[in-house]
Amino acid sequence: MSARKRVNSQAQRRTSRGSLSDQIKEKPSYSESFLKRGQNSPEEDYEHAEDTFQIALRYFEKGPIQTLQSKGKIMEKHLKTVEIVAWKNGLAPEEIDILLNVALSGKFGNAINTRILKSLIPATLISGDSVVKAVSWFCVGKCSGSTKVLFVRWLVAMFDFINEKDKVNSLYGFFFASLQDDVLCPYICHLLYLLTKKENVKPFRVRKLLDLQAKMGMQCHLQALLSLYKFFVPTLISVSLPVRKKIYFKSSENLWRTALIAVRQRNMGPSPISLKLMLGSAKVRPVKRKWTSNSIIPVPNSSSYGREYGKKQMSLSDCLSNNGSFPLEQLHSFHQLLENIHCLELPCQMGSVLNSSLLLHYINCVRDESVLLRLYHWLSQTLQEECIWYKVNNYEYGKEFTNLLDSIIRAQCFLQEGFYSCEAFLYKSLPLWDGLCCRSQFLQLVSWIPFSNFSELKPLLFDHLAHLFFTSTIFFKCSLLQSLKELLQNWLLWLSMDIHMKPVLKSPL
Amino acid sequence: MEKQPTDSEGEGEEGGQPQEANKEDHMTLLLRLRAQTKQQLLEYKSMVDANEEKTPEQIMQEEQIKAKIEGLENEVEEAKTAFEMKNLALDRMQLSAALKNNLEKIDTKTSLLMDDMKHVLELNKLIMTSQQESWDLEEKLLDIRKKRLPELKQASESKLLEIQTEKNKQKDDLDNMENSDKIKAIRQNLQREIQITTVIQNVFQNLLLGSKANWAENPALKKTVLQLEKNLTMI
Amino acid sequence: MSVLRPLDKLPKLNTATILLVSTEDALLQQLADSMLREDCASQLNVHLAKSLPLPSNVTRPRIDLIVFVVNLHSKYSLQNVEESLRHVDASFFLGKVCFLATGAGQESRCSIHHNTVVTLAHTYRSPLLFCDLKMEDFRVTMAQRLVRMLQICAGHTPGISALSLLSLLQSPESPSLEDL
Repeated sequence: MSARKRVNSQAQRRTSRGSLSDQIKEKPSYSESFLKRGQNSPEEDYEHAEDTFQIALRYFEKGPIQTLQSKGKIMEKHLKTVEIVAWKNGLAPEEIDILLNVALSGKFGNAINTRILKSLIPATLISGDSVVKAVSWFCVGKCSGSTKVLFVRWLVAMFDFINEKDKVNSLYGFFFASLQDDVLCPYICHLLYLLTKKENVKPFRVRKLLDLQAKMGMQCHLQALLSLYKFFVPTLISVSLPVRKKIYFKSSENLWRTALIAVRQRNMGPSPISLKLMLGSAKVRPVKRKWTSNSIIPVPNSSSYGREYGKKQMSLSDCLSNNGSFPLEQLHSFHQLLENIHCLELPCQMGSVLNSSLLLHYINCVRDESVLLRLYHWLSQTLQEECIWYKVNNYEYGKEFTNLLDSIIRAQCFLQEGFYSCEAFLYKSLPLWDGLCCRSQFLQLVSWIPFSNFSELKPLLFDHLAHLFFTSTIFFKCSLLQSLKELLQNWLLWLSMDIHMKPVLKSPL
Repeated sequence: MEKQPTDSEGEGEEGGQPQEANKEDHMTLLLRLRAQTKQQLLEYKSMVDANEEKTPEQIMQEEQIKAKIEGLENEVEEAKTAFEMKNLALDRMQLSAALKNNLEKIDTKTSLLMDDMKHVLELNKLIMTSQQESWDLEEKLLDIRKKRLPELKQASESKLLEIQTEKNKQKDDLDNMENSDKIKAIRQNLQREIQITTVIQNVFQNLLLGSKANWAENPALKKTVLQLEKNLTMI
Repeated sequence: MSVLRPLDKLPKLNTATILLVSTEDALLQQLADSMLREDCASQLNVHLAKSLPLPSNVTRPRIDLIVFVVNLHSKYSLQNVEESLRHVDASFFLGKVCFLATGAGQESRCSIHHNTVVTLAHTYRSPLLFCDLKMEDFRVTMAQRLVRMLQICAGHTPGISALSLLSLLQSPESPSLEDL
């Protein structure tokens, strides 16, 4: 295998000798990244592989050569190189830039563009700039419809890794215009759901969405976007949206799922970094690492957008006083939280509040519907995706899943209330539960179910639990009884609170 | 199509009754088999009784049948519980009578039975103290939660509202200064400009989209495009 | 055509027999192995069958529990089970029949809807269990559960019979989870 590679690169060297030496000097980082593979082949091989990749990259950049007999074979070889590199180590931001342009500019055929897009896996980050350029090509529209769909799905899957999200947000209008296309519509809705900020909600957009809904009927992705709009600016939407409707986008991560997990694991430090902010102590958070050890719950990252509360017109106070919102990365102590509590902006990825006790405090005080809605949406998506008894192959990630469940339970305990998404997840996965996997976490989730009627709970919860109860060991029976006792305690405590307090738990989910 | 039955070796025993009692005492095995046989006999008897009953003449509705079944099940449950309690009481009486008889016959100092009983008593004491401790701790925890929960929810919310109203008051004070005419005129002009620019923003966006031009290639154009979404009222 | 009847033979002492019916041979074999490895005071017999009726030339002990395994990924296994159900006497359904659905986790590959098996189990008034038999750990827990049920159905657990277990496991029509 290695001998063959050498022969190929020898052939390559003869054809493109001049540029090769430049490339080796330019990008020395590749040899390091290949060293990480831990193969036993000598270093020479790495350079050859690195050369092959560089050559492949340049080939794609230059565009198709017109009349070459063996065009198909060379193309296939280059594609294979790119794919191998991408899936092994991921691509650097500059390379993603080049390949994105290549894929979306329509120079090559549809099949090649699809393969390129499918192997666009970042090593660390994706720069917002390359996304901007890609969207520009997207507008030009030289690529085929299916390529466009794949590109949008790729954006949704890689959303967490995009740097400088404000640049992507400034292209909101372009994305919005693509809602017309029936094929693209659900994926664009998902992207917009992730991208929307309060400032993006404008009356003409709301009208457009309502028109689309009238034309296409009740589609759950349109409804999801409308409900998000409604909670940012409730006054603009008068249409009533059904309560307790689970907002569900088809998960489009499936193509890149295993690779994403690898990327997240690659980027974590050698020792697990716990981001639980201790009250009272200012912990220096390492800025370079962007992902927690659990790799499912993201780090709180403040979106650097404008202010949170939009005003119709600027007032003198705005001009005179400094009303900038407080960036979350600097939030280390309770004292800081108190000082800036009126202008704190919540992170893009709501899941990151689960690990931070300060942010949990904030959420507890704010009682804003949109905040809770976003958190519940993130929870329901994540639980759906990470639940290990749905995915046969992912049983190795059992530990991650138990850690995630632990964090959720801690957050619920902290806030002393249950999350509706967890409840829905429980009802959905209880029939499939075998009674042993993540048992203590599952039973704790049972004890945090919010208060509701027995007649509602009986078919959803108690019948399935009865199935497990009567056919399990004594230990399980006792654990279940214990968690039911805790459930009762929680309900009693909740009900014994002051009745005058307004029931804010009727969140529309 | 059936596969040959796979016989098990439960607990490493071969075949049916073990001659050498490996893990199970001979006596225990006999008692267990007795209980088994009793249960199986009960099942057969109940089937025989059920088959002897006549089916009722009228056809009952399914709902009625279900309701009746539920009622009967409840009755059975109650009867079973009562039976189990009575059995338990009877067993206890028998046990204590047997113990009493046994104790009268043996030497109280060296017997194995006395040692067992002492051990049981010790364990019971231990269990009771642990249970008491855990109940006390649970009580304390519940008290703390009872105190904390309303504080957590109501107090924090009201505090935040207070902070926000304070800030708003400050803003209102500033706003009151705005009523001078000059500022009003300035503001009107500003508004008009903002509106015009917003319209231009949107028109330009749509123009670009319609023209299918690659705006990222021109750096100046790209810079302009990235500004198009900016909400001008914020600056 | 012979019909399976529950109490037509006398039980052997300390023996419990379970019949697993399914078109999925490999899964049944693995499940049978897991069951036999379980620690159990009674002696277990596991019979495997692709479909009913069973050939009448073999003598077999009294069958205490029948488990119909349906693979949600193939319509054929459901059809097979529905065919086989006709060869079971009605008195078997008083707690000695159980349905097991495998492959419910991967919704994209399920050609049979979740609700179909639920209605099937409801029509026959028998409990329905879900388990992904391909995963070792889930299979082992399910084997434990089946062994416990088998012991109850064979009458080896004093104080509880198959019928009483059935009434405990009975669940009325559950609302569709898509409403959540």
